[in-house]
Amino acid sequence: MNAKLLVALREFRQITSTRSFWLTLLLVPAAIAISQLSVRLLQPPPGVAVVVVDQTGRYQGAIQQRFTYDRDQEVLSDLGAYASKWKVAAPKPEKWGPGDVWAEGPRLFTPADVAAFEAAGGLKTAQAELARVKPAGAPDFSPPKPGTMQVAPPAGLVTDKDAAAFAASLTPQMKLRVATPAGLRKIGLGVFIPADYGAPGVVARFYPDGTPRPMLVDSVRQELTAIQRADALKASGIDMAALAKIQGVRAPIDIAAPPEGGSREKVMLRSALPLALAYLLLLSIMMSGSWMLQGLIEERSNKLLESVLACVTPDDLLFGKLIGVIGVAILMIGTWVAVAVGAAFSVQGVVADFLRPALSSLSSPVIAVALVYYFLAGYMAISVLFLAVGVVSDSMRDAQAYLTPLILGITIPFVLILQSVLLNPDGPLPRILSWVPIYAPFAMMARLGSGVPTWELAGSGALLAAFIAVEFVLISRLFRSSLLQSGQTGGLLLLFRRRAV
Amino acid sequence: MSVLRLDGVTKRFENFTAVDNLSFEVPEGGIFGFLGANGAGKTTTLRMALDILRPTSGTLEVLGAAPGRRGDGEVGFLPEERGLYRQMTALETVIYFGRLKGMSRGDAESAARGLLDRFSLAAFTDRKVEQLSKGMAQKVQLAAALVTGPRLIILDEPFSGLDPVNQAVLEDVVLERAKAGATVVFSTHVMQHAERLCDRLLLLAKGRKVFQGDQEAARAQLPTRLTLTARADPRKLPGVQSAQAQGAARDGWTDWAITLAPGGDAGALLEACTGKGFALRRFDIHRASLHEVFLHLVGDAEATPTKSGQAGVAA
Repeated sequence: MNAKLLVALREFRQITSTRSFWLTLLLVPAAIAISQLSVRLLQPPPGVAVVVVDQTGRYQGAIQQRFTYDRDQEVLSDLGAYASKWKVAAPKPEKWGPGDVWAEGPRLFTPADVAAFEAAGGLKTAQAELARVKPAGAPDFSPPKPGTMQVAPPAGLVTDKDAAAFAASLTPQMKLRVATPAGLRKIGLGVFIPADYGAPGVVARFYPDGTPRPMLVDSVRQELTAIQRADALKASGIDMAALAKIQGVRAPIDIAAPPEGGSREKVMLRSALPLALAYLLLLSIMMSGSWMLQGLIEERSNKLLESVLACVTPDDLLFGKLIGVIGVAILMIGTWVAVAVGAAFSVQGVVADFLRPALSSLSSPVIAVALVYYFLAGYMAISVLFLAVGVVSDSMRDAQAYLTPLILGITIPFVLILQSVLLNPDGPLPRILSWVPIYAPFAMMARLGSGVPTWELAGSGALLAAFIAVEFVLISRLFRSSLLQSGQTGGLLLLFRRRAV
Repeated sequence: MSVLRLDGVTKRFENFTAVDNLSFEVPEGGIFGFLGANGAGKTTTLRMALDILRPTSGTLEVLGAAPGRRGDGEVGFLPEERGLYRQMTALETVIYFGRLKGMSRGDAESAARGLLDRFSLAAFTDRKVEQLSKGMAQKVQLAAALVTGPRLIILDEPFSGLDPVNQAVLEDVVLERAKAGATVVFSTHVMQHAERLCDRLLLLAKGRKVFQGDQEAARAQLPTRLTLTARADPRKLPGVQSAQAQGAARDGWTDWAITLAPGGDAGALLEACTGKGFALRRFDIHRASLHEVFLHLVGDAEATPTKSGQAGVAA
């Protein structure tokens, strides 16, 4: 076997036999598992039941209607997302019905949309329609769990006396669960509207269960206010028919679905994989660079180098080490990507919903090739710097003097690139750093998702390749001139002082 | 044919000259001692022979070609600074170095097992280097140097750090390999090893050659010394440079420490005594030790200042 490969194989084995390698390798699977777990743990609590005792008989219906409207909005929003995600096409030769307002994808649904949806039969009709037209492989639409549900006053609740009696009877009820169409629910809010509500100084009493639900309270209050405002306007002599007409006026607007691939959200989604790979590149370089550095320092401090250099040339040793560490990187990234792809297609939930579309960026051959090139080239360009530190250091303490500025010099621009790309992928900083070879892999990988002109990819890639070639020449010289100079000062100055030892 | 040839080789490290215009040849076969004090330039010379360092000027030939890693395992090297991969087992280590020199895995393993067995390490083949004693680790490194069955074996201070038992094992191995046809070049500053092993010697001082030849020629560098017990004063005998009485006479007989003049022969002196009826009770010839030769030759050279400077970098 070639000497470089033998050195590479030994380097690979040494690194992969360390505990820190395996801990690093498990990072991504652990992150996915934690994400899945946290999604479950962070799920919002199920909706609550609301008990409304309306002794006037005038408000209860409006409150119920409001809850139904809010629920329809949620259902429409999910239907729109489903239609967009699974590319649900209109039934042919028919067209979408007037109630299929969700078919164009997610958007802000107006009261008119909700009314049309309800008029067409609501969720049942939509589900029947989807069953006919959904593409093969798409799962059935699963409606969101109902949120707030108004329920009839449970037995034992005092409804015909004053607020105090209502409150006293409600307190024990709030510790129990009541039956609703969506199953047993806790009573989250009790509302008592006295018979003389509307008279000056009379208030409707709200009894929450202790969990703050400002939106729920506000929804009920809005309905109470709307009816009382109408009463006041009527009392002031305004023609009620005209009032109804005025209240029905809505500024005519049409909210279209965003164009395919044009939304910021979609750009972000396509950028997710390149950005993640840029981050993984940084992480894996830092890890494997320090492993390689430790290995080289161990070889020097163990007086091993002379034995090895009697068998292989300094260049064989240098490039063998680089090949070995790149092998480690490929193993790490390969494992991470395999785990991510496996998770994308084997688990359900937010992680899978994020990963599946993110992987779509690989479907473009240019992006896929550029990702692989910048990843490997970036690995080589930066690993050589770690190797240089190892060559001029006799101990890890010596190495720290070079490592701290090296790591900061890479990490700080990386963070700036990432932030800048998230704000504006075509901003000046990522574009400038795309032409600085050490930062080009990060900048280009971060920008790939939002589209980079081919000339820029080729030019920056060629510059990076030339930079690596120069690095190889210099590190080769440094390697030969300083490997056996243990205990001497000089560091990187050796590069310039000793051309051929 | 010479297995190692240096012609006017000089090696400078910045303003320090480690090897100064050195020329010599090592013929094939036998054991060649490369002797010198610390900092004499022995290690630098051997590193140049292995192409680990390049000479500032002059040329080297190893096995008839420029120095380089030929990948055929013809040269085995044990460096002065010993070190092994601590996480590798003894067997893996020897196999690894065998494979770096071009052996197949099977051949390397077979040779490695044989050598480890020869060095009484058969029970430790699967033990990690970090779990071995220092002496065991040194034997593993020696096995790594010999695994290819090299024609030229270069050992840099091979005996340092070894206990007397392991030194004896190493001496046996060196003799075995030389008997089998290999050329062994080893550096040392311990003259007893050189005296027991070397057929030919080269003495270095301050990077310069001060002597090359066999042991007899080395000893001939010092005047012959004798101890006589005689009735008469031997100072008048032919060839005697000096004679020192050792204590008072007993029954008329006195012990004398004699130094012959340069080139003087003890046999000629004995013949002269017999011819002249010079009464003798004792006639002991003292062979000069290599240690004395070393001190004589190297001491003189060390005392001579050179323009090269003081300290050594990689001598």
